[in-house]
Amino acid sequence: MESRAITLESEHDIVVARGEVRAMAVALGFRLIDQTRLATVASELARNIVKYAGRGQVIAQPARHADGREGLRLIFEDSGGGIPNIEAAMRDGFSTGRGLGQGLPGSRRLAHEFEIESSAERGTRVTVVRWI
Amino acid sequence: MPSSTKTQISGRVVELLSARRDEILNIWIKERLESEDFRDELISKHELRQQSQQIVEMLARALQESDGSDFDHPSFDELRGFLNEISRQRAVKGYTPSENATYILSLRNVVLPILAEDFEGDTVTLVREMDHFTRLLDRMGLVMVENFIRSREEIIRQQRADMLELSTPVIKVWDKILTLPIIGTLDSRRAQMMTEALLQRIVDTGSTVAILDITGVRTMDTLVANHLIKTVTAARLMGARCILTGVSPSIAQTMVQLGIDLTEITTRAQMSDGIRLALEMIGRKVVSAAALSHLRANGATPPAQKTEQTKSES
Amino acid sequence: MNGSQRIPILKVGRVLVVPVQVDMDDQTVIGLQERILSELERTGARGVLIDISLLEMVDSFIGRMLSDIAAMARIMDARTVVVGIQPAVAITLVELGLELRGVDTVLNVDEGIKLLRAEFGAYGADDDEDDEFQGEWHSFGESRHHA
Repeated sequence: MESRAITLESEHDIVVARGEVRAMAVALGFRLIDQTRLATVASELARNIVKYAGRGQVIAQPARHADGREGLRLIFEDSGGGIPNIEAAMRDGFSTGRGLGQGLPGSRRLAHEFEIESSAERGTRVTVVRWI
Repeated sequence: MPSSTKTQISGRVVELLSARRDEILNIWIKERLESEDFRDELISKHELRQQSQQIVEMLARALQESDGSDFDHPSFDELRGFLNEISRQRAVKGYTPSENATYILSLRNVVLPILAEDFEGDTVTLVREMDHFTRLLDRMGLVMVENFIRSREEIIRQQRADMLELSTPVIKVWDKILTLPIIGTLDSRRAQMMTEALLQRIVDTGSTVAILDITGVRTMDTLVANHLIKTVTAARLMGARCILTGVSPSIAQTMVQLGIDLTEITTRAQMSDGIRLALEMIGRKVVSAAALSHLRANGATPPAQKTEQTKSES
Repeated sequence: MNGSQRIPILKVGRVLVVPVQVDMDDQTVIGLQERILSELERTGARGVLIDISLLEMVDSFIGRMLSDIAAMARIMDARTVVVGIQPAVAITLVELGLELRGVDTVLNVDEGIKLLRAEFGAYGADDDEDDEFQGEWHSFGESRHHA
């Protein structure tokens, strides 16, 4: 299966992103509950980009675990101003914008792997993986 | 001497095995039936005969087609496939791994005397041919063992999946009331399956109350408690309330010591208390028949129904 | 154009029924919230039933909208009931850390109507004969009749 890159610059793109991610999860054979988890992660992290960085993209790519399991990797990238305090942003209930502050910590709980790099110069990149 | 890694059975042996295969088969079966390994409760004589006959014939054919070549030769594919199938069947039937391997290796005891008879006087050739044939049998034995183990692993995996399913029985005890007796150790995977099974049954049955009974839970830790809380919360989001029953004193102690907050979860000591509460939650109540008839005799039925009842009683 | 116009708001008795059948973008969510509140004011309805049984995903934005509507409607003396959250959605919401506190949730529209009726008589003050307890006694009387 091919990787897909989805541009994120408007609110409508959030809907497109979660729809595309769900479709890929279905094609990869994820169960309904995992499809829902992945679509939700996509929605949360895509919204973060549209809201805080203005624009960016998400790359969805099939992945393979060392133990042979298949999975889906989602990479969210933007070149916005970065997250000044990642530790605080990863705490439940922390938010600088008009959200509930569940986006980052919630997405971490919905994924098996979660990685975040952020700097004021290079923007933010969040990588999540969920295995089947 | 030929290369020691490659088996090359001579044309003479190939011919010999082919020509005397009926004799080989009969001796082999006789030997099998007399051996202590023969398990007539697992395999019938008829079936053993059929299997053995096919092995001997496939072996003779493969040797002829490949011109006495190595077991890796494509001519042996049919035999390899058949050995795989037999091993799988034996794994299902409950043979031990050594019984399974002994079966094919015992062919050596049948063939070697025939070789010895044919090559009498030519010890050098006999030893070489015996060596080659033994190697071939070893390879066949290995196929049997490998596939036997693979099949057994498959069976164990299947049984584990079956057990997981069996271990999360969601039972409908009354209209709109489900119970989930949780027994044994709750690992992450089982807990997840349990939650999903319960939530799906809530939708399927339109139940509004679920009783989670943990009488059979051996150990309580934060992981298990968190799963319980998660299940209760998810059920609430769907519109069903949960009641936790069967909390033993020792588990109650552990939960408090671990600092697990269950204040938002309704708990009852016994499953029966839970069922009573569940009935109340759906607007039912269990009363004794005597109390009910006493109530009725005293005119406790609502006025709207009175006329109809008098009618039906008259 | 407001995408939320695609989502109907039906008035049934004293209840607003809102069947959400499409994946909503954020503007649609905000638009829907505003429309529900202005319909509450216009009709004087006492309850809001939001049916999301067809939604395959509820993220924190939609979750927050549901909580907000419930809180705002309460100030306007109306009760909000969210209907039909699917198992996968419920589990995901819990993992996301959203428990929708302050929102009443029910399995289906029937249960929702029952809940609102117990609160204020969902179809208005003049249909008391449809009261739940009457119904219960009725079936009780009938089973006795057959015995």
